[in-house]
This record gives sequence, structure tokens and C-alpha cells, in this order.
Amino acid sequence: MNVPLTIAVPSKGRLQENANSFFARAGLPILKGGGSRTYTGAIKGFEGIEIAFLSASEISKNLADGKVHVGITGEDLLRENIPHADDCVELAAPLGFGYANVVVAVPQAWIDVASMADLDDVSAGMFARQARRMRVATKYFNLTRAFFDSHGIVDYKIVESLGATEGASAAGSADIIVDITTTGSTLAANALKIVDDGIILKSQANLAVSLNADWTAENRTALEAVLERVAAEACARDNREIRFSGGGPEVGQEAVKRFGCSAPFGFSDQSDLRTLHCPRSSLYDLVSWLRSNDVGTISVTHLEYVFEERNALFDRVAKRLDA
Amino acid sequence: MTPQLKKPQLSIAALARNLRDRFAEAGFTPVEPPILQPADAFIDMSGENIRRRLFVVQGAQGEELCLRPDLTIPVARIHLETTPDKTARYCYAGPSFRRVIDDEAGATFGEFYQAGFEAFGFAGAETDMEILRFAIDAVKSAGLKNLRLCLGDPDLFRALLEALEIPDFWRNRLLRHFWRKDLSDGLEQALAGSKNSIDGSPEAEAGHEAMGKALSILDQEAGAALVREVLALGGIEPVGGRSAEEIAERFMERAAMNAAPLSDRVVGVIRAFLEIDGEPEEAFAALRALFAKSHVDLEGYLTRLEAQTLSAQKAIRETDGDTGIVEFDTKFGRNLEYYSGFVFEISDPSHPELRQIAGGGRYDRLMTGLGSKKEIPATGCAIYVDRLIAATGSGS
Repeated sequence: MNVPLTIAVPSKGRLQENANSFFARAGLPILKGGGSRTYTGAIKGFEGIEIAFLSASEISKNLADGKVHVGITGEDLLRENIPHADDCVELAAPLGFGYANVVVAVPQAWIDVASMADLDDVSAGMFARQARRMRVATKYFNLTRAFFDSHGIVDYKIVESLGATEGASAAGSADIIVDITTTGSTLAANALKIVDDGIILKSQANLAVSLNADWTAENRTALEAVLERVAAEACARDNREIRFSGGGPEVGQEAVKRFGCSAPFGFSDQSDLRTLHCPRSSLYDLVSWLRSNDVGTISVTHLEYVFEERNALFDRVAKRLDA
Repeated sequence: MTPQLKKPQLSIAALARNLRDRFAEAGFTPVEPPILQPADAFIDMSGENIRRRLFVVQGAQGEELCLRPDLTIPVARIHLETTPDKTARYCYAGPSFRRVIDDEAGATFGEFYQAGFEAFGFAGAETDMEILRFAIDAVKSAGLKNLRLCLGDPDLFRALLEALEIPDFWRNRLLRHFWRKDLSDGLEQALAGSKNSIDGSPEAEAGHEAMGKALSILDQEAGAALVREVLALGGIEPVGGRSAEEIAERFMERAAMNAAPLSDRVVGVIRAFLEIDGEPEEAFAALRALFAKSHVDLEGYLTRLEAQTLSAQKAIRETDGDTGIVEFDTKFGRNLEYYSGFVFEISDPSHPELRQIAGGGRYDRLMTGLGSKKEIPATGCAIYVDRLIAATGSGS
């Protein structure tokens, strides 16, 4: 029997909505299975692909065990739940949603603590003075341990917290916390502050490829097709198309060099019309630079998809799968 | 991937029991501590890092239990719960469980046998020597031919810091680094007098310095009041496990540290001290020379320790002739924070990969760490039976 390429997608919450709309944008609309098969689905127009709806933490576990080929989940969960994550999964593409930072936060009242080095000092002092370990409330056992290790902090103890972690300090069940935050406002509301160098991970949702799964030739072909669309969407998302004419032949080349643009169709000798793909972030810099180089009208358009000549994303993943 | 389970070797359990019987005949009371222990007992003693070595399970009430990672703490807990006011000698044998971490190639699956003995309520060098001789006899009785005996005393470093008459905050900081694995880095950093807030933003650093200076002219009470005032001004709720006194104290301490860095002399003595290890007579000669040169008076301590070390050396020579290796290392014994005096480790020089086969010594700080109100002197030794068999081949 041919095992289909299995893609694990979050089964609930904001992450699910975002993942669905991401797949739709990438031209891979997800169809939910009906009846008893509500936990699986398919992608419209694709044979040999099965969607598995799983909870976010199950996704990382299934990726590590090689029970699914591809998974959409946060980098925080991947790194927390999979020891040596980089040996088990390839983080193929950040998806631009599900942003969250995993941070170390301490009570604002600790006005003498700004850095992890301060925290080291305080934790040791606590052990010496109060004969107890500094308690850290978190659900991120592994991330916390690795991060505290790297800062040489040993005098602490993790207190498991599976919900409302930010309240642990005020409630007295812990001294400090390690948790995810997007804006930091929940932390502030609980009289906590982020330690200056206490950002453990800047996380977002990722498309992760399992290196432990069994990969048939059919699975790889299906993955290539999926990644082609993902890459096309990602490239379109990150770039804007700029068109202008005039300014002499060097202006195009110079723009490529200065602003990290690409010239997807080259520069023709016959025509004065130039087309560039410019990273979103340097768009306005490019426009004002072009202005100063006397080009005429400049048009900027959103891109729907950019299918590049080579599927660099798949090439990279294939290399990991072959290794 | 399912890891390969170690093949059961009945002989390991048998040898462990034999050793325990031997200890029992010598007057140690056999005890069998539960295999399931509260995880906190170990995490509180050794810090969070021990947790990844523990096999943790959940109890019926959601409490965290673990399979015992060693037997010393479980035996100590039995003593505390039964007869803390009396002297006692215990012996034990049985499996312990520690998760194998990747960097330990060739280590066993996570279950290993220990046999050992502990004596509670006995202070003094005599018990120390008795324990050591008994440990040597035990491994020899099991067929271990070549011995390497490494000796140390973590309290010698403590005594040196006292004798150097450096401020408390420096002493505490240096001691803290002494116990850590990354001794050289941390200690070098501390010795180099580097500020402890190097990673903080410059603004935060400047703020801390200003606060420290402001507080340095106040006494503790006034300092704490000032900290409370600052918190009130900022509308900050005083939550989180530390009092205003503690925060003020730390500001003052940092200001004092910045104002009084360690002198070159002190830094030099400590560095030279930590480099001394090797053949006992040479090591003690080097210590004496260093202390004389730097006007440190620890002769009393050194004489006692030297007598212990030489007597241990003699014990080895008596049985091994000149083949036994004995070393004294100023850094030895710092892997377990509750070690507090004469400590030793026995290994087999022809099997360095097995590392320590038996280890023990004095740990007077354990009992208070476990919650005892009064100090209870303690000393003992644990034998790694799997390694002993691997070294002697007596299991095959």
C-alpha cells in the first residue's frame, strides 16, 4: 500500500485558522474529511497527500517519531518537545504567523535585576540566604534548562506550570517565569519584566519536515509540489514587483546590488522597461533612490506567486533527507 | 528507536548483596530505602540540572516522585526520620537509576547497582580513615587489583578564603564558582573582577551603580526603606520572593565589590592553589611553600589533612606495594556541593573509561540541607558495583 505524504496541521485555535489561510494562499486549499474522518483531510487537487489534524504539541512529537512527514507548528514547541530538534526535523520555512517570544521574566520589584548575570547572582544569594532554590514557573522545561545552563545558572528549580504562568510570581508559587509573550502586556499586567538578555527564542510557526519519517519516491514528489507552492507564496509575500523605465542600463544592476533586489527577467537591451523584485522592507528606500536617478513613473504591485527557476527550498530539504 | 536494554547480570546483584553482607558483619545496619523518592529531595540538594538525570514519575496526588538516583540521600532521610539524635551506621545494596546523557558514551542504560555504607553522628578524622580503609578493603575483596586513589578536601579552599581575609561577598562568590563544573571560566571571571552585569544594557548598569552608591552610605534598614520608596514611586507591586532588604543588600554588595576588587596578591594565591595536585608529599610541600610565601597560616589544618592523606597512602602501600597510585588534588570533591571535608575516589588506572569505582568521604552539610535543625556529621562511601565487575571481570 502506498502511504500518502502526511501533513500535520493544528486542529484548533488561532494557529489552525492561520495555517488554513496560509495553505489557501499558497494554492493548497485544505478539505476537511467528512463524517467519521473529521481528523483527517486532503488538499484539493492533490493526490497522495493526507492532512492530519493534531494538537500543536502532538505535531512535534509525531515529527520526531517520523509518524508524519510534514508539520505546521511553532518553533518553540519543536525545540521544547524534541531533544536535538535539528537532527530530527528541518525547519523548512518560517510562515509569518504565530509569532511569540519565549522569555525569562522577573518581578518588576527586582529593580536590581536587568541581566541573566544578575539573575545568577540573585539565585545563588537566595540559596545561600533563604536555603531554597529560586523557583522558575514554566511549561518549557527543556528550553529553560538549556538557556540557564548556557548562562551558568544552577541554583534554581523548575515548577511546572501548564496555564496562567504569568500569575505564578504574584501568587507566590514561583519567583520568576519562563513563558511566551507577544506584546509583553500580560507580563506587565502581572508586575513582571523581561530580563534584557533573557529572550530564549523568537518563535513563529514553521513548516517542519521530519527527517525520521519513511520517505518514498512518491512522498518526495508530493513534497516537491507542496514546497514549490509554499516557496512561491513565501517569495511573493516577502517581495514587491517594481517596474520603471529609463535611468540608463546601470540603474537596474545597481538597484540589485544595493537593495537586495532580484531581476527575475534580466535586463533587455531592446527595451527601456525594467522589472525588479524588491524585498518589502527596502521598498521605500529603493523608490527614493530611483527618484534621485531620474527614472520616470514607478509602479509597485503585489505579487500573487513567484515560481522561481529552481526550487531552492525543496533542494535544501532534499539534501537533508539524503544525508 | 528503542534503546537496547542491558542484559540482566545476576552476578551484579549478587556481588552487591555480598558487599552489603560484609558491611553488615562489620556492624553497619542494613537498610532498604524505597526506590521511589520525592524528586524534590534531590533537586533541592543538587539544583535543577539533576532533574534531567532523574526518571521522574507522578504520584497519585500529582506529586513528583523519582526513581532514586543514588542511595546516600535516601539513607540519610531514613536516619532523619527515625533516630536523628543518635549515632548510626547503615549499609545498603540495590539498584539506582540515572538517565544516561549523550556525552557518556558506553554508559549503561540507566539502571546500575550500588553498595555502600554511611555513618551518621561521627565527627573526626578517625571515622574518615575507618571509612576509607573499609572502602579499600571492600573493592579489594571483590578482586580489584590496581588502585588509583584520589584525595581532596573542598573545605581547604574554604579555609584558604577565610585565611586570606577577603570580604564576605567575594568569599561567597568564589565559593559558588568553586562548586560549579565550569570552574575555570566562572572563577577566572570572578577573579578578573569583572562586573557581574556585563550583559545588561549600559543604562541598566548605570542605574544600578547610582543606586548602589546611594545605598552604600546607608545602613541596612535605611537601604531597605529606600528600595521600598523607589518601588512605591514607580508604582511597582512588591511581589516575588525577595524582600526589600535583600534587594538593598545586593545593591550595597555590588557597590562594595566594585569599590574593593580582589588584590593581585589574593588572585595570585588562589590561582596557584588551584593548580596544585599530584603525589601527596609534593602536593603538601607545594601548599606549604605557597602558604608561607603568601603569609597564610593554615598549618594546623594542613598538618591534619596531610596526616590523613599519608595514612591513606600507607594503607594502599601496605597492600599494593608501589603499584598503587595516590594523588591529592586541591580541586577534588567539588562535584557535590554537600561534601565538606576529607573526600576520596577509587578508580582503576588500567580502566580509566570506568571512571570512579567507589567514592565517598565527609558530607556534614547534607543533613541540614535535607531539613535537619541541627548539624549532623556524616561520612560514607558508595561502590559502583557494575563498574567494579567490569574492572575485575568477576562477573563473567
